Amino acid sequence: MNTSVTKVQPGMEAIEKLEDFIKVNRLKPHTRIPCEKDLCDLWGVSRSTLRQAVDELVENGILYRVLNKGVYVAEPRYPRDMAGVEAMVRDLVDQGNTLSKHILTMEQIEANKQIARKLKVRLGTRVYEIVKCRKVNGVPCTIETTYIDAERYPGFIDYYNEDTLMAPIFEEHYDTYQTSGTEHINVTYATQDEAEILEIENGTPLFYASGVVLDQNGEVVMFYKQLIRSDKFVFVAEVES
Amino acid sequence: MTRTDYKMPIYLQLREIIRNKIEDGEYMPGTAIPSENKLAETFGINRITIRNAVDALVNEGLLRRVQGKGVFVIGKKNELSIEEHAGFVGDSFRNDTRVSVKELQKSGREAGNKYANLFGLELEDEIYYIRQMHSMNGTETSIEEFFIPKKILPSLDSINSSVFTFRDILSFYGIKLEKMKQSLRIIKGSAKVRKALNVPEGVAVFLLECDFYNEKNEVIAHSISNIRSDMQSFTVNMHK
Repeated sequence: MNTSVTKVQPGMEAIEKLEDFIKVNRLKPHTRIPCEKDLCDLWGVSRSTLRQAVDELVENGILYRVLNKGVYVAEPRYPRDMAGVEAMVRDLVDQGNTLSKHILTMEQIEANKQIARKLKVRLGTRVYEIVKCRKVNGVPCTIETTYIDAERYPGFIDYYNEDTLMAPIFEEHYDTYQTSGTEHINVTYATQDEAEILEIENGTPLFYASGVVLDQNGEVVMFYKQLIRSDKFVFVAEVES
Repeated sequence: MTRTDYKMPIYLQLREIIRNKIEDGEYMPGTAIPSENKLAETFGINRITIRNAVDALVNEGLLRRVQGKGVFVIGKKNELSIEEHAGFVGDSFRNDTRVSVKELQKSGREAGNKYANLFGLELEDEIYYIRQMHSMNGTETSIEEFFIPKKILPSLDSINSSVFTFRDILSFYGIKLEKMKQSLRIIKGSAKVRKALNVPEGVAVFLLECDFYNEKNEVIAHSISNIRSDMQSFTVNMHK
């Protein structure tokens, strides 16, 4: 196939111009963008082309529409580092966000097949199950379920509460350092309970991140499942080649 | 110990129970899961809640509803290691999945505002635009778009992007791919994308964007992938 220089498709061009317009003018969230007519005149594109471009950026969460008012720049999504939950919390705090967590349930249960396999313990081993909801700047954003071997980390839930962090507890009380892990990133859809906790509509798509964290000796420290609001977060990674 | 009572403990959530049974092999791929009535009876949960959980797993791509026959287990989704997502790839096998690549478009175009800024070019400078359709075992799964300045790969027009990988081509030119910055969003997806990929109603789309850097920390390429979220998931290895 021979390539030739082609004109950029009007639809694509309008999207790129819009994206660039927001970036170059450093438009802050909730800023109204110029009306359709002005942008069409500025860029020489048709109304229908521009409307489709706006539609696409609305679908992608870059812009949002307010009925009879206009089109506004959306809040950027919070970064969720693919390096795991701990990196996410650190980044959010570094960027000046207020984080809080609410423990929904915390108790000792017996490992079922899945938990036993992930934690590499016998079926029926006593494990701690901690379910919590995290809020970012007061908005509920994640529901996390964490499983920890109660025989290996006895008393963990006595140290853990809404004001403490997991990593320092592992380090100070159990000489365990979280050093590596594997995470799976998937999509799921909010059930009624989750929707209520996260203050979203039933069936809204969510990120479903699950994984295991290993310590300095390659032993499993925890197995977790994290549900993350997809309208609030973007997964990011920097991969060295 | 902090405890909050919920009307239904989260660990009793049916969606996760069914997911575990699939993962543990209790519900085998190709077989039907128990009927909604049966599940409602077993777990003492109303049918709306059951329907809700099953719908979520259908939209995730783990289950499939067959009219008048029941709900069947599809099994594991294809997983892509995020480190391996390095520009375009040729036809290949990933696990047991045959990935085939069709080049839909390859052309030179003007950089325009967005890409002039991204690549540090003039508005009229030429960049290559490649659009591919990726299929897994014959089902169209993702639309991948690549943007590469002509000055980086001057004769990309004579190289077939569905035969060589992006890494291969860079190495032909002695360019080192130093790092990639990736972002992954869940979006509804434009009507055009949803139609081209036959995305079922209710299923979301993954939008994976990537900037590729050389050792001088210059952006040498950009990619945009719209991926059916019911066909693909991702894995990441974390190291400190």
